[in-house]
Amino acid sequence: MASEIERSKGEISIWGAEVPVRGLAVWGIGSILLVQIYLLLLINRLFLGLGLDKDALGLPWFALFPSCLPRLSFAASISILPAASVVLLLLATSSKLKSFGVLGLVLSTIVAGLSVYSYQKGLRLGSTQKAPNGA
Amino acid sequence: MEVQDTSSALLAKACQTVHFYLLALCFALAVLARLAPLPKIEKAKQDFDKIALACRNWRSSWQTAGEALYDKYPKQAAFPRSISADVVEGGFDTNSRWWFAPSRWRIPRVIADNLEDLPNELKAPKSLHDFHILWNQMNGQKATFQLALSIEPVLLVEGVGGDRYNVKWAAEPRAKADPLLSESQLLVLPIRTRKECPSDSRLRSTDLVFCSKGVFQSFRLEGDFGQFDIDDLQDVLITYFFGNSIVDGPFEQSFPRVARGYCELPKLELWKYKTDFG
Repeated sequence: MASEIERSKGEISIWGAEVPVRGLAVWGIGSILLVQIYLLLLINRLFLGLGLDKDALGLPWFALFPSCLPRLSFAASISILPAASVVLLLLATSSKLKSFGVLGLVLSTIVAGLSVYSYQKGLRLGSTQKAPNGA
Repeated sequence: MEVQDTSSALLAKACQTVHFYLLALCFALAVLARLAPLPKIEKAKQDFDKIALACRNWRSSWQTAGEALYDKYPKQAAFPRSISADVVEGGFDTNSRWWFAPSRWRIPRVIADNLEDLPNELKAPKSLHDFHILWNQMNGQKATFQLALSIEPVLLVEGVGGDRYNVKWAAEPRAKADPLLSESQLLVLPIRTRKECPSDSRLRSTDLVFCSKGVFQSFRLEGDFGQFDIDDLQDVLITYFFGNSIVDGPFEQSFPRVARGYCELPKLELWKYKTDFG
């Protein structure tokens, strides 16, 4: 019961830090969206703007690995994972903020879709540009 | 292999870093979302809102049957115009049934049966907060609560007391052996003061509320009444009574005119609320 009382105070203690949960949905979904949008801008610039040179491809980042599985994992990690987190936040949201949570979910899905699209398109462009050289 | 810091490589590094932060943020928020207790409490509040609506409906029916006492003394009426879940408290009655009622007026009680599966540590919740805990505990256990709003016998006295008369209420419990109805539960509560009701000239300084459910066999009104006139008492003393008769006893003998203010209603189960947990 003591733990339940602690839980109902509006704050969660994590390693001594008091994390407010009352506005969790607002700042949580907002943070995810901001990071997603920033990542979208970077992916656009990298895969559709500058392109991947030899030095970039040498980076140990699984999004740049040549096989299919790492690329699928990357696509899932920037689309499914944020959406799942937003859904969890939505479930933990009071009814007054449900509409905000749904809007956040829609925006997150859109940004994730654009990121995956840019990523896949950039990889395709990279492979077609390489083909003549390799031939 | 060492990566050269070309523009593309730098941008790839930035992407990698932001990607990592996104993953960390998602995991952290997912954990927080799982720990947050908001929806369950929200659910309880929503149910309280339903109860509040039922209470308001009950007031309407009472007003019709209650010989228009509410119309005559709207500001002293026992029923609030709205009910806030924040002023609700609860406990268990003599039959170990859960009840909770707005703490300031205490007229309706919501009774839940089928609580035999209740965890022992929750047998005596004393507040709305404990009720939330109870609600959370029962969630997922497939327990069924049968909540019924029942009419409580309530004696409400307003406009009496204060500086001039120094009136005190006392009551004798019918069953003193009942541990759940201890002396501390013999409620004598000041509910409003003249400061809070400046527009009501009848209110002297302190209003008193006394309520219980068939557990008192007599009432006493004690104190120095000074120039207190029984006809004045008729004006300022408003009594509401529901349920089983409790008018026999010293109270009625002392103030027979007041007894006319009693409004007796059959004990009714006006409203039921049923919910399945889990």
